[in-house]
Amino acid sequence: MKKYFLLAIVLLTALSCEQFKQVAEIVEVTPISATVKISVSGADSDIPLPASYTVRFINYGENFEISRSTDASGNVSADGLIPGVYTVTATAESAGGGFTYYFSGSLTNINILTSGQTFNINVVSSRAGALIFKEIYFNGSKGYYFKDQFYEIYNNSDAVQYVDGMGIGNILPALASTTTYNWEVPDGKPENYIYLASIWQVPGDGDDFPVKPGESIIIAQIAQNHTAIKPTSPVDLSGAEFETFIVKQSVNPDNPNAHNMILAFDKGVFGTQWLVTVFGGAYAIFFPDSEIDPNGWVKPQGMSNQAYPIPIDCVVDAVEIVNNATKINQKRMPTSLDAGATYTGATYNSNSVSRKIRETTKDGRHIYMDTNNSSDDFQINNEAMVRRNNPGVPSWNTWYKK
Amino acid sequence: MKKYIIASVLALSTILIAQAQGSKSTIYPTVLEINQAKATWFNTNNAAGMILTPLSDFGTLSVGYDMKVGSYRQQQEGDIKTLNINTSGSSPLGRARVWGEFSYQNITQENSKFNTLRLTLEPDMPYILADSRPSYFKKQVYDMTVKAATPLLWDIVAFGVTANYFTKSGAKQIDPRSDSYEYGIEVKPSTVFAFGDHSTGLTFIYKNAFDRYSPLNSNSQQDQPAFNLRGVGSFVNAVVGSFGGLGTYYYKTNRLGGALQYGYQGNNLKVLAEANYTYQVIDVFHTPAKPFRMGSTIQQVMGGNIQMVLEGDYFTNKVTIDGYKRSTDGIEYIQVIDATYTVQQWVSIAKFIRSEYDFTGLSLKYDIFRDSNEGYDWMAGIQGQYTDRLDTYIIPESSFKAENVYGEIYGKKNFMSGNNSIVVGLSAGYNYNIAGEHKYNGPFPDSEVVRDLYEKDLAILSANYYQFGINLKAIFPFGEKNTIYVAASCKYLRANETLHNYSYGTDTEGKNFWWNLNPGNQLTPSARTFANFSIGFTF
Repeated sequence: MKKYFLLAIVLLTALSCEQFKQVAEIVEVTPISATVKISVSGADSDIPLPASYTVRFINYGENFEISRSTDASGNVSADGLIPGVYTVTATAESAGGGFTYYFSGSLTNINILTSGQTFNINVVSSRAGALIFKEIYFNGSKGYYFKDQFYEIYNNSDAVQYVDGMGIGNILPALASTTTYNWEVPDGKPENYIYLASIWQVPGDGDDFPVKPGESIIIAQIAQNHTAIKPTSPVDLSGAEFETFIVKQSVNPDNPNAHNMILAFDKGVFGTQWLVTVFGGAYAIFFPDSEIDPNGWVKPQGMSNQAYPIPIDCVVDAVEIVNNATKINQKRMPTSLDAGATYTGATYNSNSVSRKIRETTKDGRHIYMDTNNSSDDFQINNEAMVRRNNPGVPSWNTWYKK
Repeated sequence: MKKYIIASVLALSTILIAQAQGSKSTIYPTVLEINQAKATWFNTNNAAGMILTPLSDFGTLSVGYDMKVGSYRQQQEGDIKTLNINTSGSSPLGRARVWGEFSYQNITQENSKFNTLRLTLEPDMPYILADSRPSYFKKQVYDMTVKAATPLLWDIVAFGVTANYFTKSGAKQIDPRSDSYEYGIEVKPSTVFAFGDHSTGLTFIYKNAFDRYSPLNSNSQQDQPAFNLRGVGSFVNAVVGSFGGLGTYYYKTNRLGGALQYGYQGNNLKVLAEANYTYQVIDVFHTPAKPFRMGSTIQQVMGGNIQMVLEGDYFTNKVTIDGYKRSTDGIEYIQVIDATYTVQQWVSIAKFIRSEYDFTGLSLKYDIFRDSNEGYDWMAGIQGQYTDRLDTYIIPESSFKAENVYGEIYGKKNFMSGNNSIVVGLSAGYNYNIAGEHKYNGPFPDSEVVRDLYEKDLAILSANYYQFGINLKAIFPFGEKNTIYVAASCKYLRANETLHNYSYGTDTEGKNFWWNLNPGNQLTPSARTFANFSIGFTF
């Protein structure tokens, strides 16, 4: 017995020595500095360049952020940084030819651990997004009811937009987590794509579904009056323009008025409805540059998940929704599409997220924030609302009753 | 494991009680009290020295109920009600000496805030999960300590060991709640050398502890916001619940150290000096399937104490001087996910000391006993304490300071009625705050952590207060040497002035702020009451 006791003491002491060794010679933290250089690529010569860029050094792990403006050369230095893992974004706006142009670029999860490091950010320009996610209701309502999910797409521009052929989908991984996928794509450039678990497309021949400035369309999971089906649900979706109706099922009724979306890629669709996680998906709307091939999926290294790659250049708008604030540093959407993330922090409580109003034109049309950073652009609502802030309804929607 | 330990302790107590049957004089609790004051080696880390100043033979068993209620408390403390069962005993075992103690506590803690998991809170452990909902805990604590000393071999050297094992379990009762377990063992092998009136001792200290906490929600549909605290008001938001919510928390502790003792034992005078040092590391991480390091602490403790006991014909005098210096570094890790599909783990790419926690304590105590066959006829004492706590967060620079001096006088009178005894005690103390300040330069000056935890704790820790106490113990001998006793005590503490109000200042950018001590009347003076009732036996 005595020898076992002594052996235990020796082993425990050895373990403690190993623990002590791991924390030996650790130094006190000191503030550090970093420099960012901005370069612009792909901008047409007739697009006016901004005078300076706002560069944000965001350390999500520390709740720490420093914002600086570049000089005329596009350079900026920031001191007082806490060593850590940063997302650095560069944004600017310019106006010309009656359009607003956004310039944005970012570096994600870069290690700034020592002073004097220089980072280059390549920014690209884009005209202010025309079609945007205006409101997303993914939470579901009390009683584990999730059939009332919907997506509101808004024309934020001053020109008519046609949604015929527009795709909508949620990307993989389905949940924001520390699990990351290493996608294997034929061209060997996985960073140029997003990977959708499912793709629904608006029907039409190109000019069937115009959406005027200030109008919005509703894509419902199931276009029914959910307040009648489930009294705890906050939404009546019977006036939705589109629904993601699963054809080969008889559980959920088909609304004869709402147009059925086309299920172009179905690896992320199970059962009788298009259920995207109530914990918060990452969504994109896009116009594909080629026909969706149901067998054109790819897989991550060492895994069996199948997803459809859509080039980032095809994406019109993207929104990252995570479970809660602690998950922002586990976001899935490329920062070039969404540098931040929004969240409700709960499930089945009727919460939704919607864009904040940036300005209202003289004729009463709202223009919503679209800085490609959902942390800044979105607000959390206690209760989802169909057509919040009274957007216009397309004239071809004759069944919507206000 | 637990049942073997309890069985061992009960067996030890039985042995001690059986051994103690040889003694004929009544074991009044007052006898045990003065004997422990005289047993200078017993009060050190060196169990071997117990052979030089042995305790008298005894056995005790008591059941008690403690209450600590009132708003003068730190936010994480809450109101505490405890059912205690305690047994202890000391006896020769052959030519060796053994002493053992076992206690069980059933604790109900109410209105505790900013602690979601931990059963034992330490001021130099910043890495804890906290939430702002007033909650209550149910806890159970099993604690066992054994000391053993060999006889003085060859009249020169003795060997000894102190072993402590504790296990605690508990659960927070309101979402976000927890299942919490803490285990630990501390072993202190020791030796003592005696040279006539002089003696020296050496002790090796080793402690290993392991804590496990599982945060969870009863209502799975409502995530609960929480804070991963990092010290001095620094925190990151956390969520209990949801997919990918916080997983199990682990705290791994190892402590090594040693102590040196010197003793002198003349005819009437006993002097014992001890110096000790310990080095402790605690690693904190959560979600073991994909471990994320919350942080580590490196704690160094230097301490020393001197005991002097002067025994006269009628009086026993004791002076105790204690010094304590604790320095703790808080280490945080910069971690990234290794996305390699065969790895998919958090990897530490850098680590820094981010915070420091320093505590200094000094105390001086003098007791005088009027000796009697029943222990003492009366006793009186006076003590003074100085404490200085300084917590620092390095970047963003923040600090928390509380410096206090406390003085207390106390005394007891032993009224005899035949063989029965009633001991009546009184105490009075006063705390004077020298300094108190919280500076915060982090990103969330209006957060609950800063305003409801640190602001209010500072108000408590930097207040002047007085306290009065009374205690009664009625002792009834039975049999040849046994007693049964009933004891009750009550202590009332009250801030004697309005608690400090704190001014709010911001810098030119409107971001940073600090709190300064100011006289004011916004915080209501608060009080706290400590009460105890117990019934026990001595054998």
